[in-house]
Amino acid sequence: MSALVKRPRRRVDSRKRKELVKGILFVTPWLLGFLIFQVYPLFASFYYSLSSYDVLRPPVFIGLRNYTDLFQDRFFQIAVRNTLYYVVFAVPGGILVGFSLAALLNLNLKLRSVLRTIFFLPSIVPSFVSAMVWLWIFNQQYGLINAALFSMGLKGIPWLSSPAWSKPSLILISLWGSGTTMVIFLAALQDVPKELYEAARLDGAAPRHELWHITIPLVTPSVLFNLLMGMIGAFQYFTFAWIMTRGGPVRSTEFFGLYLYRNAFEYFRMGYASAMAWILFFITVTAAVIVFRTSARWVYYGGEEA
Amino acid sequence: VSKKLNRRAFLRMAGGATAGAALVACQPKTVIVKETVQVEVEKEVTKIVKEMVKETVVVEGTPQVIEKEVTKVVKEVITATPAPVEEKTLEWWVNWGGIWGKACENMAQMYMFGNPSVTVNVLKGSASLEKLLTAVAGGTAPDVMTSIWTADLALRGALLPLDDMMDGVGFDRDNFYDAQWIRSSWDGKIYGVPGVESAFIVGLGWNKGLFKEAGLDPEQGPTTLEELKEFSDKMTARDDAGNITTIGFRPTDAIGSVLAVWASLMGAEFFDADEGKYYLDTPEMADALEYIVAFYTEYGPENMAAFSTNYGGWTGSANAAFSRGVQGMIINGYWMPGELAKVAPEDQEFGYGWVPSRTGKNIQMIGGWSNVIPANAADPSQAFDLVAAIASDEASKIALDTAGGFCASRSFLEGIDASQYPGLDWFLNSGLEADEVVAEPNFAGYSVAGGNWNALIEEVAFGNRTIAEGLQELEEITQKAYDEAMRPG
Repeated sequence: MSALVKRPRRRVDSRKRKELVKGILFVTPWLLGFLIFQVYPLFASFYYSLSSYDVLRPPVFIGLRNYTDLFQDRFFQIAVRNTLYYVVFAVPGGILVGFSLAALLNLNLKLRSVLRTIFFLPSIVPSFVSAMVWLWIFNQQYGLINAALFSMGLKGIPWLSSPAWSKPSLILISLWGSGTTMVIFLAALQDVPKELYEAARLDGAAPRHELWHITIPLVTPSVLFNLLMGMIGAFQYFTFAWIMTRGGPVRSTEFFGLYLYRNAFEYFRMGYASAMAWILFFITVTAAVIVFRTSARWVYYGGEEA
Repeated sequence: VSKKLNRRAFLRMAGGATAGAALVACQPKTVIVKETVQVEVEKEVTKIVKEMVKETVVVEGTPQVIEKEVTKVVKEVITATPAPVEEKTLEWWVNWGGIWGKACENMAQMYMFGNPSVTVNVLKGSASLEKLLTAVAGGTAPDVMTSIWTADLALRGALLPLDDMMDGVGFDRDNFYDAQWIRSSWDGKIYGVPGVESAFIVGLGWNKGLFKEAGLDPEQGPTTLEELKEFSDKMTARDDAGNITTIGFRPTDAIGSVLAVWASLMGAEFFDADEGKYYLDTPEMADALEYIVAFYTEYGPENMAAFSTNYGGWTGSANAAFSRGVQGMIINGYWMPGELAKVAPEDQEFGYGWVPSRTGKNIQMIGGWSNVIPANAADPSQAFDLVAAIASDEASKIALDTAGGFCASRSFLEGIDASQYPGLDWFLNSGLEADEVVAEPNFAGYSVAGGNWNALIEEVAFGNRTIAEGLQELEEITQKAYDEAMRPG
């Protein structure tokens, strides 16, 4: 009897084993990619961060010297300051613009679909192309904006040639590309139950009360998502600054990513750059943890207890 | 009857198709053309032999016998399988696009014409330090690349020493100048051969039309650094909004952006090779920085930055300020007359002369590019063949005709037509007339010094740093880069 019971179980085991093997075979390409291109570089970069390494010769272990040198490096401090400035203004700015556009395009407007497409388009235009267009728009002498200012008898703004204006100019460009944030907010806004607005109106709530007490609380999960993604992206900001200003003028747009790149590929200091990468990782993780910890106070997951 | 395609059958068919495709791909190339040519040659030779035999006085035997024997031998020779010619492809990464990129493509065509079994792929605008670094490290480096970072790459073992290959083919080193070899060597070994662009890189060019408009003598350039500044001030013009519309002189434009040029003009020696020490925090370098920054202070650093953004490139670009006639003077190399002849409007005339120096000496510098072979190149011998061809007079003539510059060798300079571009003769003579001819540096760490020098100029110009602070920092950074580069291993 026991043999009769065991036989089908063996069959099941054998089938499961085969399925397991097949499953492993199917995920092997991804697994290999993950191990080779993500796990290995992660550990390797940590080792390099403790080494003097110029890419062409084997790394030489130097302990924490790269880290201690970084904290005395004036250019590193400038890069950190520039990056924090960008994160502090570009991320909330992007959320504000994205939410405003979404709220606007959630109204029953004519040509709503066309407008949504137009506002989303900048976020799918290749960065290099956008950068070229913005270089022309921000040109101090012949640019579109300054030409308009000149025609009104006003003085032109040195958008990219002044250290005071260069970062705000790049932030302005980032706001122009808030299409993805807008789409996420748009989806969130469409999920807000209409009955809540109807009930509020019956209670005599003004539109601003609806916005403050219904709309915003119900889209806070999307705010959290956009805040986290925006922050991670902003800490790694590189492309526009590299194409448009190369870190200038006067290192005013020398962001973390740019200085890291320069050390790794122009100054033969991959070990130093790896240490920078790890510091950036810890800064980003710390910021993300702070946001997560505080999110219980301001993110509302409809109906769930915090 | 419908037949379902199950997974096993599909996999079998797919496997069969893949194997078939692989076999088709492996089959030898078609030989129809070769056979047709062979038959035609055989026919022609037989015809010639018959005619020859007819005309020959035969002492013994009959003409038919001789004809038969000769035809047989000819046939054997013709039908003997020739040694297979190996098709090769060389990747050549060059620094330039535009007219210089075109010159490199023309040089590659020249090489392929003489070597029909070799294909040279020119990748324009690719020879940047970061790209070379990653390609060499990743084992995907090209066969040949243009370089000005020979020391930094060679000391890290990224380049192949070329001495043995040069000796093997009897390459005439004496045909080039010592300064060019300094630029291409490291630690007593040669790692690059001058090619594409290499000659005298310091000269002052001026726009005669703008000189006239400013009331200056169009045939006479400034003779002192103070006069250079005065001339510049006279030519600089602004619009109502304060933007610069015409600038007299931008000290960091073109070759003026090179630290070593200003060091030479101010009489500074900033590196001691015996000690392995950089000396950048010196009164001479402070003088250079102060002189350069004075232009920024006078014209406004933001206005200077905006003006530079509007007019990109050196004299090889039609959009460069000097080429477009909105800049009065420029420090640039011997390629300037040729480039301007190609890109500047025809009604513009230019003058050439010495860049004034603090020491009062006429300074000339030999610099430029060399072609190097990465240490992990697949076929160094073929790669060197290309490198040697690029260093030939024929290649230099192509560069001169296409881009306006060249790689100066003794034999090329003997045969050059200096009248090809107005002003070229000044540069060619400058090598003989200079009080001092120096080599453009090829030290470890120099690229770090050069990159930070231009950033420092901006920092001082905008008042973020004093000259003393900036130079001290520049010296420390550069020395550190040098020490790291020279570490054992």
